[in-house]
Amino acid sequence: MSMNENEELRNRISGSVSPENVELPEYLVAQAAKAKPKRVFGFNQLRLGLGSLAFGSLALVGAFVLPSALAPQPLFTMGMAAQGGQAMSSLESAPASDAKVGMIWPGYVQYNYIADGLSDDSGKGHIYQAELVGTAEELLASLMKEFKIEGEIKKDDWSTDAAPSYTVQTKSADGVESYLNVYWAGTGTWYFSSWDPSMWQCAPASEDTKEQDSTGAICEQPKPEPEKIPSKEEMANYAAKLFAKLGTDIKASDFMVNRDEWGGSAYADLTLNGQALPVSVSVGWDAWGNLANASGHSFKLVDRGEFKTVSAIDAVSRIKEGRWYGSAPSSFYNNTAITSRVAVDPVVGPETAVEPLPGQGDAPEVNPTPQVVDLKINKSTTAMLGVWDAAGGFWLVPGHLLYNEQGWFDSIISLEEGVIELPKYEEVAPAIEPGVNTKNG
Amino acid sequence: MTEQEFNDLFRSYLSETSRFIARRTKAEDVEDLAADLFALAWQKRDSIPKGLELPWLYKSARYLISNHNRKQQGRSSILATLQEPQAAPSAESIALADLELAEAWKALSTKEKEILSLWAFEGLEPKQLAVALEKSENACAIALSRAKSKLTQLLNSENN
Repeated sequence: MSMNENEELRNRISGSVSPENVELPEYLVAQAAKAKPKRVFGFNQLRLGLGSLAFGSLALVGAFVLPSALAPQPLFTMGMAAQGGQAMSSLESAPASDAKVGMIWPGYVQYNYIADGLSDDSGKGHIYQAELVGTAEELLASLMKEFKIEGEIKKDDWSTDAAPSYTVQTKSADGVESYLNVYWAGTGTWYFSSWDPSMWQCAPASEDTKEQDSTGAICEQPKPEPEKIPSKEEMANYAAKLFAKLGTDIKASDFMVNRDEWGGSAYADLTLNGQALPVSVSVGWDAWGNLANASGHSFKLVDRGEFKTVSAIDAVSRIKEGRWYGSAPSSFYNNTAITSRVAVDPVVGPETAVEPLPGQGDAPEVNPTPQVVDLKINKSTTAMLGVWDAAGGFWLVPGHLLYNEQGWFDSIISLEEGVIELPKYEEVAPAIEPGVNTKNG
Repeated sequence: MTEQEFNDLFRSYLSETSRFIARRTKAEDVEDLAADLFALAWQKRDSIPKGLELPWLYKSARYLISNHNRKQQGRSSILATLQEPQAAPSAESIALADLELAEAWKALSTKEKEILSLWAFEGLEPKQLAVALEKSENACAIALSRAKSKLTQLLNSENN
């Protein structure tokens, strides 16, 4: 790449996003230096209640001996994070908020969800709370032993008392770099990765070529050695043994295994009574057969009782509200042909403003008109959904996966109203980013 | 570093910090994230490498933004929790200005987007990228070189 091409590419990228100008007050810096008690970023305020984690598990168990109808307080307060990511596709207000960060959504879409042939049977389902097993130190010790890494355990910059996070980073004598992280909240998640940078080494550029590339390196694609990669059966067996050693029993046959010349991976959803959970473990190998990454958890599920659930038909009315989303097990996503979110034709019309070119002044104010789409929900199945509470804890709750005619699904919590406290619903008024200004015209 | 030195130094990074965060999250979250970022900087002021304060701010902001986005989106899988922070601007965010680039951008991996963003938007070179991405300078140079080549190829293939 020549110097000119290099700069051209840089300019093209940097010119492509004009972030909204947010002027930060100067006191932000001074305030930081006043040793103000650190805010715990990311967690919503802990709301105390009978179901709150602050009362401890004993109180929680006590709450469940009461018929749920008499329980005066919700079991837990969902954090905003508890809502599934795909909620974004369903909330008609979502495009508006996306638009604020400049996402392309020329119009916004208002969906009418229509239940078609779904069951109106209500039912019952259990709620489970994830409880960490052991301590972070014990987990780190067993992982470091398993992955043969030694080094200083450091608390991450973003670690908090409520959600401690630890990392060990090492480099072996032969140059292999390893990374291990334990996030001690929710399900006690851990992640390990290892890579040999020498396999991706670039030759230093000659003086001539150096002038043409500011990075001063010329890289050749490394040559994979697929014969060194374990077979699919070997990968599944290794994964089953690894997680059994670390306290999670999964049969080798339950792992989904992928293998090509660039590496392989074994992946499995955890299960409860044969039902897939939205919690998964994985192991991966690089193109030379080395263990490249692994991830798992250290938790157990505590049954917090059985609760009434609403029918699939009733759950349909919750899609629009946006607060009832939970995370579905990944195996459901894998079984769904997903090429895009709900497909609608983007509306680029006179109701959408066109961003002025530089020097042409501000974009005119416009009132966007929604594109209305009727969407039939014609199939449903039950599943355990994952949600996070406001204090960072992880729960499994019963839910319905509501499939629409376009092949996508919404994962909606089926608990009756009041069992858990939902995040507040705040409708966002549509505020469409001024339109489309492309180099293509 | 004294309070005065901290104030003088980090106040000069306010606009870069604002732009960095604003490219990667909603405008209404920028101030909160920046407040957390500077609070973190004050706590860690003695361990921030001298002369590389801005890349350090970018590195920490990536984590804060990534955590923030994760919590907003409710991604509960371990991979979402523990993967490296992901704070690169989305293809959609650049689509308004350059559809061709947005198409090519979509085909990049998150890591490629990340390093290209830091290089192009924030103007970082490998030495500073090494701080922001917590990798060696050489690894950053290689990764950047590959990402640029890939993006260029993608753009060329769109044109052909």
